[in-house]
Amino acid sequence: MKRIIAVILLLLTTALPLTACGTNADSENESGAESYEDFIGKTIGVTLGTICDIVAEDDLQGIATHYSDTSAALEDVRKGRLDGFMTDLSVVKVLAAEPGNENFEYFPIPEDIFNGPMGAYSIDQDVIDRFNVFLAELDADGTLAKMQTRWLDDVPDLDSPMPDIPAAGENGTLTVATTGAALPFSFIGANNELKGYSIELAMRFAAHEGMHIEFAEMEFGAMIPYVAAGRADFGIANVSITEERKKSVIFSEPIYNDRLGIIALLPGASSAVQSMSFSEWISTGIDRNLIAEDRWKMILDGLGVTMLMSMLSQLLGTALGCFVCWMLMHRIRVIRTIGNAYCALIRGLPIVVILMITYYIIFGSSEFSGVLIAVAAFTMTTGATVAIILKGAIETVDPVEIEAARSIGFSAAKAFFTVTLPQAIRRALPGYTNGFVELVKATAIVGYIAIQDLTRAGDLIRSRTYDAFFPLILVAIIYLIVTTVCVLLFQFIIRKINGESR
Amino acid sequence: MSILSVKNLEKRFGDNVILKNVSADIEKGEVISIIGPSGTGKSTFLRAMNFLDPPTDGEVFFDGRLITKKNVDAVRRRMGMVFQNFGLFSHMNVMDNLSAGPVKLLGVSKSEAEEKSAELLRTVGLYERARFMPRQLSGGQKQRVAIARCLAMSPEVILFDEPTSALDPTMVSEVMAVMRNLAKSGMTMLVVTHEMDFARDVSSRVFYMDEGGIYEQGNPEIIFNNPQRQKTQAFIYNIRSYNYEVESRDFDYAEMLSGVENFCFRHAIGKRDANRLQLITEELIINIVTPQYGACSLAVHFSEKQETCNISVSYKGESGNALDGAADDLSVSMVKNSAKEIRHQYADGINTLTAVL
Repeated sequence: MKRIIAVILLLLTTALPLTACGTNADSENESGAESYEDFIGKTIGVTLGTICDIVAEDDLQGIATHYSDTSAALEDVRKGRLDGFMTDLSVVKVLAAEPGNENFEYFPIPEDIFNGPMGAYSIDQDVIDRFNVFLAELDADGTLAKMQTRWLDDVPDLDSPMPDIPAAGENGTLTVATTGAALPFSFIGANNELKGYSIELAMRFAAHEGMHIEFAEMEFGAMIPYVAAGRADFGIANVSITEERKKSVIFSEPIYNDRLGIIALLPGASSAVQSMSFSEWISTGIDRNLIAEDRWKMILDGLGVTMLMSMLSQLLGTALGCFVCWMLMHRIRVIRTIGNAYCALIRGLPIVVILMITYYIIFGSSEFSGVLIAVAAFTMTTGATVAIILKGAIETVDPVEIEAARSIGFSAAKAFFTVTLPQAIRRALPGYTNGFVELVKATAIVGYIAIQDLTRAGDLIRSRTYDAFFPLILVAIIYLIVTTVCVLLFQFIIRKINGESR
Repeated sequence: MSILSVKNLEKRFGDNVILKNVSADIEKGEVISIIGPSGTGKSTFLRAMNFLDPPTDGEVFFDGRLITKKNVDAVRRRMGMVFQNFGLFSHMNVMDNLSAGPVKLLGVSKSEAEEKSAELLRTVGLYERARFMPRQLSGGQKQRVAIARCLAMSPEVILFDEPTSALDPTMVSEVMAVMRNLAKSGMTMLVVTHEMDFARDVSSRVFYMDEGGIYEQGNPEIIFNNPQRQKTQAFIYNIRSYNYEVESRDFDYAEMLSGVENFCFRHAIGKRDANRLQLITEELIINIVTPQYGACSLAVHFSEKQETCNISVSYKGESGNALDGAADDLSVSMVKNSAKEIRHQYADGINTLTAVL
C-alpha cells in the first residue's frame, strides 16, 4: 500500500509543474505586427541547421534563438519569450491554422530575401536521373501544380485521405527515408499513416517506376546519413538543397521552392490563451494528443516496441553476459584479456555511439530490420553490464564454501552450480534489476535509427499537434510506470528466492 | 592395511618448498593430532592428502588405492574435512547443508537424507536449529554443523584443519566435546590443532611437524612429557611460556599485563598464585628494571610437573642486580616477599633476574 502511495506521489510531483505552465503567462511580448518588417531587431526563434538564423540576424537585424523542436519554439512564442518563430512558409501556414492556435498569425517573408529549393536525394545517380524525368513529366501534365495547391499553397486539409496511388511492384521495392515530423511535407496522420506533399511525390514516383514503396521514418538529422550509408534508396521530406549536403548525397531538381514566414501572437492574445485550468489542460491534451486521429495507437505501438527491444536485449544480453563472465574468469590469460577488452570497449562508449556504429557500420549493408539491429546493439551493452555484475557477485562468494563442497566430493562444476551460482545470482539481482531499468530508458535513443519507440511516438505526436508538454509528460509517466512495475516485479522475485531459503 | 598412507610427499609453491619427503601410515580408528609452530606445513599436509592442494610429488593411498586427480572426487566422499572457517553453504539452511552431499552425490532420496541429517544434528546437539540459516548461528554451532555435514557422507576418515582457531575461547569446548565423542566412537581422525589438551588427552598419536616434515612422532605421553628431539623440546617448553619484549620505558604495559593474565588463565594457575605472579611481573618490570635499564625482555614459564612458575627478566648492561640499585624500596620488598627465591645471573653482557614462585 505504502508503495502505491509513493508511486502516486511521484507521478503527482511530475505533473505539478504542468499546472504552472498553463498559467504563468506574461503579456509583454505581443507583437501587434502587421508585416514581417515589424520583426526587425526583435528576438526570433529559428530551427537549428536552417537558413533562418542568417535571415533573422542579417536581413532583420534581430536576435536568433535556436530550437531543434518546433513545438518548444511555439510554446516560447505563446509565453512571450520570443517575438516570433521563423520557418518554412508552408509550415508556418499550417501552424497558424492548427486548432488551438487561433491566437497566432503568420507573416510571409518576401521572395527576394529567401526562396530556397528543396530536393529529393540519393547516392545513386540513376535513381536521381529517373526521378528528374518523372518530376518533369508530373510538372508537364499539371499534376505537380495541383499537388502544390492541395498541400502547400492553401492551408491544407490534413485529415483528407491520401489519393489512391496503385503500385504494381513488378520492379521491386523502393526504400525511402523520411521524417514523419514535418508538416505538411511528411507527417503522420490518422491511423498512423504517412501523409504529405513529399510522401505523395515519393509514392507517385514509385508507382511510375512500377515499384513497391517502403518508408523508414527517423529524426530529421538522421535522414541524410541514412541514405548516404546506403540503407535507403532515396530520401524525401523538406530538405533544402545546400552545398554542404551535396557533399554527402546527390540532389534531384527542386521539388518545391519555399519562402520563409514568421508566426507570432495576435495582440492581446497571450493572456486569453493561457488562462486554462489544469483539468481543461488535461482534457484538451488528451483530446488533441491521444484521441484525435487515434494517436493513442502510436503510443501503444511505441510502448510495445520499447518493451520488445528491452526484454529481448535483456534476455540475449544475459546469455552473452554469462559467456563474457566465463571469459573474464577463465584460467587462460588471453581469453581473460579478450573479455576485459570487450567490457572496457563497451563501457567506454556512449550507448548512442554503439547503436550508430552497429547500425551504420557493422550491419551497414545488411537487410536486418532496425529493431533487430537495435536489439543487437543493446545486447552488446547489456552483455558487458551483466558480465561485470555477475563476476563481482561470483567473487563475493566465500572460497571456503567452495572448498568445503569440493572436500565433500562435489566436482568443480557441481560445486559451481550448487554453491557458487545460487549465491551469486542472489547478490547480482539488485544490480541486474537496475541494469534492466537503465536499458529500458536507454532504448529511448532508437529514434536515431528510424525505429518508432515510445519516445519517438511522443515526438511524432508533438510534431503533429505542436503541443510542447502533454506528449512529453505522458511519455514520462508511461516510462515511470513501466520501470516501477519492472522494479517491483524483480523485487518480488528476489523476495521469493530469499524467502525460500529462510 | 592402512586406511591412509602417504609416501614421499612433497609440496612446493613455486620455489618455496613447504613439505619434502613426508611419509606416514594411518590405521583405521587412529586419532592423530598434528602440532607444531605456525608455517611448518601442518595445514598444507592435510590439504595435500585430499588434493585440495595436490602434492607436487609423492603418493597418497586411500584404502590401498592411489589417489589421483581423476578419482579424488570419489575418494573425498569417504574422507571428510572440517575447516577453520566452517565453510557452511550460506544460502542453505542447516538441514540442507547436511543433505546436499548425500542427495546430490550419493543419490540418497531427500527424505532419507533428512532423516539421517536429523539424527546427526541430534548427536551434535543442534536439531533444534535445523531450519536456521548459517548466519543465525554462533561460531561454535557453525563448526558443529560442519562436522555433522561431514558425517552425513558417512566418511571413513575426517581431516580437521584447526577446527577451533577461529572460535571465541568460550566456544572452543562445545566443538571439542563433539570431537571427543567422535574419537570415542572409533572415527579415524587427523587433527591439526593448537589445543594441547585435546592432543594430549584424546589422540592416539601425535605428529610434531617442523623442518618441512614430521619432525617427531609418538604417543602423547612421549611427545608432551619426554620429547626426544631438540625442536620438539623447545616447542613443548614454549607452549608453557609467555614472552614479552619491552622495547623502551614507554612500552604498552597494559598489553603485557593482560598477556600474563591470559597465560595464568590458560594454564589454570590458581587465583592466589596468579595474583602474585602478576604483582611480581608488574613491580619488576615497571618499577625496578625499566627505570634503570630501559629495554628488557620478560619470560614467564610454568612447569606443570613441579608446579612452579619462573619469571625471568633479561636486560643488557654491566653486571648488576637491578634489585640493589632500585630507587623504589617498597617495590623491592614486595617482590622479595612474594617470590620463593630470586636469582641473579650475568653472562655475555646480559643480566638475568629469575624469580621462582
